[in-house]
Amino acid sequence: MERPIYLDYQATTPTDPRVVAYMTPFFYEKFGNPHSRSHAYGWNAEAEVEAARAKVASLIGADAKEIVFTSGATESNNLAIKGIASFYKDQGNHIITVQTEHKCVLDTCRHLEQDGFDVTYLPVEPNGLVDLEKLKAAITDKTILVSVMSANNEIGVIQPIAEIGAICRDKGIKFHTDGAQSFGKIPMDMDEMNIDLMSISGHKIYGPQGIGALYVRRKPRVRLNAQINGGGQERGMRSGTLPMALIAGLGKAAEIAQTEMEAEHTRLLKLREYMLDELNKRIPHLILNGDRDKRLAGNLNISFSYVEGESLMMAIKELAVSSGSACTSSSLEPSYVLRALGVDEDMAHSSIRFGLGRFTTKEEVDFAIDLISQKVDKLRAMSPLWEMVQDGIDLKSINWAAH
Amino acid sequence: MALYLDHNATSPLKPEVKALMSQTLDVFGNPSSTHSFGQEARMVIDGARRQVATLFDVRPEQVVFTSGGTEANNMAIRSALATTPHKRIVTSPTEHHAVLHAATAVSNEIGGRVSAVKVDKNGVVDLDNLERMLAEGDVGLVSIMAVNNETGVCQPVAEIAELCKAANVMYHCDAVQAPGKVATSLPKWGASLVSLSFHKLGGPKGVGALIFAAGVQALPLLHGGGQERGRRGGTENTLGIAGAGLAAELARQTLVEMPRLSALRDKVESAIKRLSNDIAVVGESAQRTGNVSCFLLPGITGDTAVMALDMEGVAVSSGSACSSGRVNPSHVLMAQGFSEDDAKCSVRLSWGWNNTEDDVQVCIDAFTKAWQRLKK
Repeated sequence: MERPIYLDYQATTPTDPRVVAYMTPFFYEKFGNPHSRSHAYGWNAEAEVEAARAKVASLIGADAKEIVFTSGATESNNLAIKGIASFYKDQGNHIITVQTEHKCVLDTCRHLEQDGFDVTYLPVEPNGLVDLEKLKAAITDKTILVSVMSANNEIGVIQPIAEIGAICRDKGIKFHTDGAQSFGKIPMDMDEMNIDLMSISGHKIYGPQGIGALYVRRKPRVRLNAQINGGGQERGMRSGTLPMALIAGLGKAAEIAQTEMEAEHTRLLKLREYMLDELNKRIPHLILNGDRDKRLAGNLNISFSYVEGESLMMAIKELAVSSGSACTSSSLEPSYVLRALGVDEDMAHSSIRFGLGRFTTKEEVDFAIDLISQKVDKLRAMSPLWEMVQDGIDLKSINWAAH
Repeated sequence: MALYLDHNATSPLKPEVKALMSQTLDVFGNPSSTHSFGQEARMVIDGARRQVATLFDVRPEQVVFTSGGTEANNMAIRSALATTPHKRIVTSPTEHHAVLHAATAVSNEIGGRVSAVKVDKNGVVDLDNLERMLAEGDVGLVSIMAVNNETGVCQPVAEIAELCKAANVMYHCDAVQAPGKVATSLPKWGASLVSLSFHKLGGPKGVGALIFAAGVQALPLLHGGGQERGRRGGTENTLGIAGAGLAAELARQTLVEMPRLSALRDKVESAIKRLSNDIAVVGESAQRTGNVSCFLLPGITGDTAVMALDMEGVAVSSGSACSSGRVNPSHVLMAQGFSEDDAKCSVRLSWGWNNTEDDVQVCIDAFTKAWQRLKK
């Protein structure tokens, strides 16, 4: 069987062949423990690690010393939130985050609640964006940290990060953003946006899985308690032997992103808008979840009303897509992100995320458009609900009998 | 190319692992995705988990993949202390920093304390002392390594486990240096938690594992998307895990070949000792792995010796790699009762899977030259 077309770039991205070519020698010929200060194997490893650190920093207008390598964005989010909470706990015990954050941010915050922290989970507007007034209103004199993702993994919306950064800086509150989906996709400048901490993922930007980073501001200095203690690597903020090949891969991926981000954004935006317009032309009653403009170029999240999501997923097996986020897609719970937008349960169940990326072609998108419109037509033709809608019945007015 | 004798710091990727990883580079799906790309990655991880489980005679679901040995040690200590009312950690003073620092950090957080069990001149724990500590009734966790990274000295893991079991205390064993060097089996060891790192056995860096004995509760260190059955959040490092699985499988073969490596090590060890009566081998009279020599070179600091050997084309280390950037004495040797001066003067040669008979003479010649220069 031919492989399905990959349209799930927010779950993970194929490693760019240039990244693969660059990192592979570090597994083997160029191996070494970067902490072995006493021989050439170690020195070369250390030099490469520092080069990669500089590449990552350069992409976000940071200093190399502000980059801490981790095993991925989940660890970075854990380190940022728990590390700040634990270091600054004497200054307050209140944290503000958002209902649509990635599971690992929410889970970390829930864990902190057990340890006596108060967490405000801000709602979002129907377009998925945070209302800045609501954020301001939530801040108390106990607030030590605001954590708001820069771009959402399910619906791709881009939060007003610079504005949130300005508010936090003004109030002297640390500001963390989960940048797993934004790093390398949209311009992120730590100083301009007043970001104190940003989580970074390798495998979302065509780098390898198992590597990430945390940006930690040095001026004014942000401090945190390490969550993984040991040999004191990464200036004590994260111990453990650095996986040099993965770090080399992340550095290369960041370097490529820096060169190609703008062109890639333009290309993907055009492709996505084309896909959305075509789908809208061919399929009535489509709903785009999340703001259309303040959105990652490579993301569409669409509710196909009057069609069951699982059936649609089965029907479009030639496309690798996901419903909800990959982390929760094996459960049948409706997406909590869509629920937070006020999307009702049925519509949330019928939603599919299309993630376009570096290797997505116009031909693939055309194939997807044809396939989706055919299958939605077919599934709707079998749906009694769709028939009723065609007959002009308002489904919300019906009292369904329990059985 | 220089002769690499620093396998306890990190071991080069085995060719079989390299071949497998090269093939696996194309498997890029997110293992949590339900589509075929995701499932392909999931299968890779499931297979590797079975291989690691086999290495320790456990069921696959007892294995949690982490980003390395340090994370596994931190997770073990944090998880264990969160599941017991007792806040005291007993550990040996010769542990890796990942254990010592994690124990200190966790106990500071929870208002507990860390006690060091007595060790002898070789670094082997005093079981009577351990038993007395356990009898005090306030110990929540014992953390003692299987094999020391600096000296290769083995701890009496099964006896430690027995004492812990009798006292109903959890036992965490940092086994990062064990696979391929000593027999590995969780049921035979009797530990509650075992930490592993795969780059020490010819696998890639960035992958470790924590193995939980049946019935031992596993709490996450990294909260996240529910991966690893909710025990470790974060998208799995599929490529690294693939390599880790095969490295685990190959560790059994490495163990079989240990007598060969041990013979090489012994030849070098006797030749070096013949250079001077001042040169001693740390842990020589203890049970230790066949691949390590920790030499004490009185009057010559470890760093100086390492530099001199590097110039002669042999890569070794002084103390553990993590501390070799500093002139600090080895905490391991200090704990074993060596003076501060002596504890600055150790150099470790650690052999591994790719060393051959030819390396013996190269090493002896290089060491001899370096020694003669340093003694002048």
